[in-house]
Amino acid sequence: MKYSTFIILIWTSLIYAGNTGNIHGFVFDDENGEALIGANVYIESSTFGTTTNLNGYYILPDIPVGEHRLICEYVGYAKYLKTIELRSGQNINLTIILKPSLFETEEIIVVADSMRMSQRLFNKPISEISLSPKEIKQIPQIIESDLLRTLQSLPGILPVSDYSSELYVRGGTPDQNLILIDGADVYNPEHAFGLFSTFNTDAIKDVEISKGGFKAPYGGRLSSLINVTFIDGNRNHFEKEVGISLMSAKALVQGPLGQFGSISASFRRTYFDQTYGRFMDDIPDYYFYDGHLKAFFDIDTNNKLSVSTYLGRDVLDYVFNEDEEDSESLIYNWGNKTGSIRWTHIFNPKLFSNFWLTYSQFSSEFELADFSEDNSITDLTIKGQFEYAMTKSLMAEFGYEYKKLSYTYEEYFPGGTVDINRDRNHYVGYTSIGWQPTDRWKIDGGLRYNYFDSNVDFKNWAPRFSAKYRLTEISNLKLAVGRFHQYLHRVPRAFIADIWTTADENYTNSSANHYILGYQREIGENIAFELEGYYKQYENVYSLKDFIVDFQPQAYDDKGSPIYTSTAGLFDRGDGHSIGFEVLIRKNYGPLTGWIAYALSNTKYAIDNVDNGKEFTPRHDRTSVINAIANIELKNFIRDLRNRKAKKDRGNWLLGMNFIYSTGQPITLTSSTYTMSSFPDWEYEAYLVYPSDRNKFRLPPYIRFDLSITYERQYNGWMMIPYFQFFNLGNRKNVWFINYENEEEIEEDGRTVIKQKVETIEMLPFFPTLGVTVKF
Amino acid sequence: MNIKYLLLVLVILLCLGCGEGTVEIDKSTYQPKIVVNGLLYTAEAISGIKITRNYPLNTTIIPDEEYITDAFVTISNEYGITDTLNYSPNRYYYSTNHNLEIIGGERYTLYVSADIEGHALWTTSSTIAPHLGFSINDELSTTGDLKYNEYYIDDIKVSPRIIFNRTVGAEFYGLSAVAVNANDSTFIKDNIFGVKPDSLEENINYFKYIYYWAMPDNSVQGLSTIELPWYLIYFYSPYRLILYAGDLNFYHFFVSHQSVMNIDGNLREPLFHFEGDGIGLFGSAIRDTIYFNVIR
Repeated sequence: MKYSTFIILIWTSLIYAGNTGNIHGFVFDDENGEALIGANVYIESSTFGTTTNLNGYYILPDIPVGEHRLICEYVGYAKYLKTIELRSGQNINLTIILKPSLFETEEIIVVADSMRMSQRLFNKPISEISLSPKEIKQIPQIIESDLLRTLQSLPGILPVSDYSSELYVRGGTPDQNLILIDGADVYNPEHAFGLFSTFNTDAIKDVEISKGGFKAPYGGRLSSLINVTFIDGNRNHFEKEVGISLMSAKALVQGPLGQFGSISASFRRTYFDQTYGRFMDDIPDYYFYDGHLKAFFDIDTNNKLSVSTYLGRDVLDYVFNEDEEDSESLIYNWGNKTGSIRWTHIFNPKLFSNFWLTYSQFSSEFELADFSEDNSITDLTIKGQFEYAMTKSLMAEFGYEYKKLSYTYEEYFPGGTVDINRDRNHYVGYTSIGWQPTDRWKIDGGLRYNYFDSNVDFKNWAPRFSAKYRLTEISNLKLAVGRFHQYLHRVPRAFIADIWTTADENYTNSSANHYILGYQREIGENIAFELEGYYKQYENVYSLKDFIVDFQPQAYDDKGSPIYTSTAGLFDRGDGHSIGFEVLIRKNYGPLTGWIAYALSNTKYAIDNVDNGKEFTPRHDRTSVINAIANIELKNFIRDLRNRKAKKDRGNWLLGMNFIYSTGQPITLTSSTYTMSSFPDWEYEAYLVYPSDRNKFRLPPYIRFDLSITYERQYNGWMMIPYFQFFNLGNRKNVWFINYENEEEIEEDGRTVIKQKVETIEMLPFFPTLGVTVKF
Repeated sequence: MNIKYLLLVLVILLCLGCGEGTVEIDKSTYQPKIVVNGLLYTAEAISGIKITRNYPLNTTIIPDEEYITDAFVTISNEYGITDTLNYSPNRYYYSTNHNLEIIGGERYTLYVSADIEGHALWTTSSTIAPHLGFSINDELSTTGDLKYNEYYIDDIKVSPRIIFNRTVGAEFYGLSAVAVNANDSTFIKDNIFGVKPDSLEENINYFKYIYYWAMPDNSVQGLSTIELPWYLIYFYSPYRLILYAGDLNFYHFFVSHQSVMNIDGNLREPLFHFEGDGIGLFGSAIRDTIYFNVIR
């Protein structure tokens, strides 16, 4: 497009705003008063349309005066229709209340899904997937529903093993995921040594996942964005929910705060030791708890305030020899605290804003014998985000962010001390312009500027661009490119909490470029087909050294023991790339929901000082992954098969299925074995293994099938939901890693010979669990 | 669609989700290597250099046949003086002509060539010997009889300690503590970690041979302390403690050779300093010994 044409289009858009008015407001759920995110609001038979933002706010600017039919649609809700008479210069503040589609009334028209699938696909950004709490809860998982484990069932998002809820997104590592709870960053969101994530699914209202190419308001990470919003609370009436399972007891309360807002609170605590511990060995004396408290204040039409807090903690106190008074014990506890205050202010219908003050802290303490460590990271953030509807076709977003990061790592061991304490400041400014020149095109261009104040300052620009094109009535084409910078580096540790450091005089920031191309198509009623290809380049990613032998002390104490206060010697620098494509067929609505996904990918890293800088495949690479998720409402499903209309029953059986197949995990095998003693004076020689090239081989394919059966029974005023979950129903023995053992045998001739054994260590076996939830 | 199809899908998925993944490791990953295990000691004669070989996995190893008896082994210093080493019936290589004197701060290079399974292999490695000056201070260190977990200095319970004079050029100090009389009858049953006596049968070497290490300031001489924690002691027995002031090769070997398996089960390459076809350790050190006796 020529520059002059672009100017004319912008100018025409601006002068068109003369004889017009605006319609704006919030969209709420009729049942609980929660704001609905991503609802489609538009003027019938026109090109005026928008979707609600994370606050449920919409603005339709510069609508010509006259009579219009306004429509609002949202998945699972009845279509909202209203005729509006708009006068010149008028600002109509219209609050829309949507009713769930199963509650049919005379006033609303009930359709299976009121918004056309292809339009919904067009509305959402590329590589973004939304999950509802219902979907998360229904997908069977180990012991109970879990947010991050559910995300591992999406194409392009992988776990590294059954024992980890960490996410590897399109070849990236878990530290490259920006995880937000109500606007606050979360670090190390793991319970139970990584087995579960910190999120209590009962408290979740909405989850948005972006696997790449996200817009300028988000940054600071290379790979993905996971934006979790807690429920604001039921604004109509009090609602209580309690649940028990073999793992935990939990409760959720929500209700109105008079006419002014709502409140919600949840709490969960585990008791593994008293349930599974009675039947299984090696269940340690351990528990975790978490909870949230959130209040929403509807101050007036232009001001809303939301205050949200989260607290989670894991506690392990293991005494090795309970019979002995002087026995050593292992004490380890860790957890997150977050808090956020969000003030939503509407300056005028066209200028919408959010201001946050957020606090997040992860901390852990570990003590074993003469070893102890304190590990923490604290994040205090002030940010503001503005959305300005310039014209019908131009929407500007801009904002700022200031983040104060403090991290501490103190380790005391007999040979010395590690004492790293740092404070960092991160300043961000960004702007993004969304332009919809025609019905078919939507173009977003953004720029994000980072100034990271460390021992050495880092200044980086991060441009972002995305374009969406309505190819036909039922298909869309999408494109996104962007540059991303990350100033946090992570010392990953299996089973215990990771340690965070930042870019400094020893390590620069990491960067990545994303190139994503997508095609979407509506392939049936409420069935979406999505195809995405991507290429991702990493620069200056930092990998923890295999052996920390270059970590040099900066001082010595009075005993001559070393004191380490610098990060020098921790990491090896490297580059990498990921390439792949993903196919997703998803059905969001109806008695059968779920998705089938296939992902083909290839990730390579080249790390200085590892295999002489040669490219290798990281452990989280999987060439092919197939996921099949199905959630079935049995009665309505059978009705659907018989071409009968769905209806709400007092009793309802729900079936959840989760199937995964993936290419085996890359692994470094042994090339040979040999014997050596550690000291020359030892008569004892150990049998040692010498590795082959890094990750050159693959374990057998990983296959797992999980099933859940839930019964929902509605009584007068309350509801009981017992459920059974069967993790790894087929008890498939998926290989986790290989152990090498040597056995000494004495031959008939009296000679001692060594026979070597290869033993496979398996991942989680068949694991049944049950629980019940009561809502009242 | 019929409900029968749903059941069929369930059954198929269940069948797919059964069974087990099997791992077969063939010999394609094997590469023959010369395994070196030897240290030079400052101001001592060259001796105790063990040369063995590695084996593919799933091979029966006969320990007596591991040793390479006919390797060509030399050690030379930075001035070009070379000693050719001979094989001893005690299964190590040693110097007979004593051309070389091991002097602190000087570099020594090992060269080995050998034929393994028809492959002509060679390897070379260099070390810089630490300076003299290292010794254990017998008067300040713990010696003599000690009651298990009841050792007090100034009424404070402490662990047995080794106090030593540091030397310049030592990269680390590795402590080898060996229970001289380790068996079922001397096992400490009320040990700190609650290890049961039946753990001894398969793991006696794990409890008998103890290692510990420290990295104090190596830029200046002075006194340093290593405390051997009581939780590492499992026998009522005399303990022989040899402290090594080691070079960089020894340090890297020490921290990596037993730790090639990550906690996630994957393997990583140990930090060996060899060119060519060698693995293991060729380094240098100074050593000193003391004893204490753990009594009931």
